[in-house]
Amino acid sequence: MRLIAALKSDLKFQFKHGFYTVYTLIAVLYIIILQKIPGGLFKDYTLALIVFSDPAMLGFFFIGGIVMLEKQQGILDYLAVTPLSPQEYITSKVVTLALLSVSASVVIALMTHLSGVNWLLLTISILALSVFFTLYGFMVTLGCRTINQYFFKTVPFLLLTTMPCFAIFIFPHLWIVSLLPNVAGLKLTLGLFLGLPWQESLLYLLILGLWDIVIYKLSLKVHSSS
Amino acid sequence: MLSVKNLEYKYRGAKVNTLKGIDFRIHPGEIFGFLGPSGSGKTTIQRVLIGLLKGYNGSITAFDKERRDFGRDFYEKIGVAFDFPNLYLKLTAKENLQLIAEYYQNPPKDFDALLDQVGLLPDKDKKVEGFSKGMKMRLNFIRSIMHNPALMFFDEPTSGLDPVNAKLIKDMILTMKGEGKTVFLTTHNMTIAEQLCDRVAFLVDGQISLCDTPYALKLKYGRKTVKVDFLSCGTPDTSEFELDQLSGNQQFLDIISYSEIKSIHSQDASLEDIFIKVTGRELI
Ligand SMILES: Nc1ncnc2c1ncn2[C@@H]1O[C@H](COP(=O)(O)OP(=O)(O)OP(=O)(O)O)[C@@H](O)[C@H]1O
Ligand SMILES: [Mg+2]
Repeated sequence: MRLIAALKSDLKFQFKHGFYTVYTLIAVLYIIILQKIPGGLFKDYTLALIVFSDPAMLGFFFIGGIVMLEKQQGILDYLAVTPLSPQEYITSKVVTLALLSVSASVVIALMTHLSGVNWLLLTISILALSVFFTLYGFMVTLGCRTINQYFFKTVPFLLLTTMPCFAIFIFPHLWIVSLLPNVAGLKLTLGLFLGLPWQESLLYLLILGLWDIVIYKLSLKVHSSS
Repeated sequence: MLSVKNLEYKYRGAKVNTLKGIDFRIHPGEIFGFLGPSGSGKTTIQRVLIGLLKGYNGSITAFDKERRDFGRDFYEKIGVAFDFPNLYLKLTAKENLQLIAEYYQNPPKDFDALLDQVGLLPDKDKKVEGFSKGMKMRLNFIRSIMHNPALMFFDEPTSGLDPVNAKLIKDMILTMKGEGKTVFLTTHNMTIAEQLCDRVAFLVDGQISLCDTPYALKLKYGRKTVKVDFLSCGTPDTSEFELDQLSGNQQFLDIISYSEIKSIHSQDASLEDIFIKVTGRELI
């Protein structure tokens, strides 16, 4: 199976380039900070915001690093002349990074927020979010030749992701922004630790799932035309 | 095996075509070489043929099918080595082969034997980032053929290699030809072209100016000469004469009769001389 081979190869690549080491350190840092905060609403909020802005979004940053490294080493060109298909290539990246997102989120939450978490919902939510952010980052990366170009290009994209999130704090009743993947994701993540009716969680998950499909198709298109 | 008709390619944003109507055909079991100065389009043509550069005009048929209609299984049948090594730098030589091998239906069984073929067995567990250019090129080369493809594309296969390793690669290419494999290669090294290729095409500015066997080219464009080093009244001098009608060449006869001869060599026109003569261009 080529996909299994690609997963193995990606795990090895990410491990050898220190992505997991870096992320372990970051996770430990978050755990230490969160453990210092006394339990309560503030802690739950902080945990939710951390999980949303870091483990769930890490794909956005990591995919950039990974693809740029592959580009620099010429791996991207070489893979294009092996039987590995673009679908398999992209899926493998998404799955490996989702694995990291989910495990980091679970570990951070486990170490800091023991009671009342629906672990299944957490896993599915972070998975859906991670897929979106990895592919979002992937599309930003493809057009870039250098790391600097990449960093420069991420800024507007990052703003685009964070701005609508503020909207829900300023206009809590503006429901239409919830159709955006990042806003739906943020509400879902807040709900994981602060509570949310299951119907609403399901709705946000559906929204995210749809976005995941759309951005996957888009990524394939961008990939094959580059 | 591979047939190319009126192939044109233009890079995005470029004003003119880089490949300007190229026609050639490679027969099964043949080593076909593209020769040309830097910037003539050798790498471009290889990248178009293997499908890395899309959006060409004209036609490329390989294995009796149009290139743009190929699926991923096309890559089971071809092997590609680029002009620069592209390897996982943080992985070892063996890991580099193993990870890529898993993408093929016909993966090699013995990686150590492969590495041994290019003299990398002692370095199999070392990270590639510490390899020299030549070591990387050898690993790159062996990786391109490990799945036993029928058609191979080598871009400057011996660049950056010392004479011993260059010979190793040349011999491996000849062995593959012996096994009935077909090889497309590019180079600006005429000696390699002469030693390896059944036919060569001269590429200048994205066009083929000549295509034939090295032997036929020499017969047609080359001239055999004799070079004489001699002492004329005590000072060293050199003269060159056509090999034809040497016995009737009075100047030559005078020199060998009355001067002190230092050396006499017969010379063959090299492919390089012919290239310069035909295209008016220097290589490199
Ligand atoms: N990515 C690119 N975008 C635009 N033009 C390009 C690109 N790559 C190559 N070219 C141009 O296409 C022409 C042919 O380049 P190519 O790399 O095919 O030459 P080459 O024959 O392989 O040269 P060399 O012997 O130096 O490897 C050159 O004029 C080059 O500037
Ligand atoms: Mg080249």
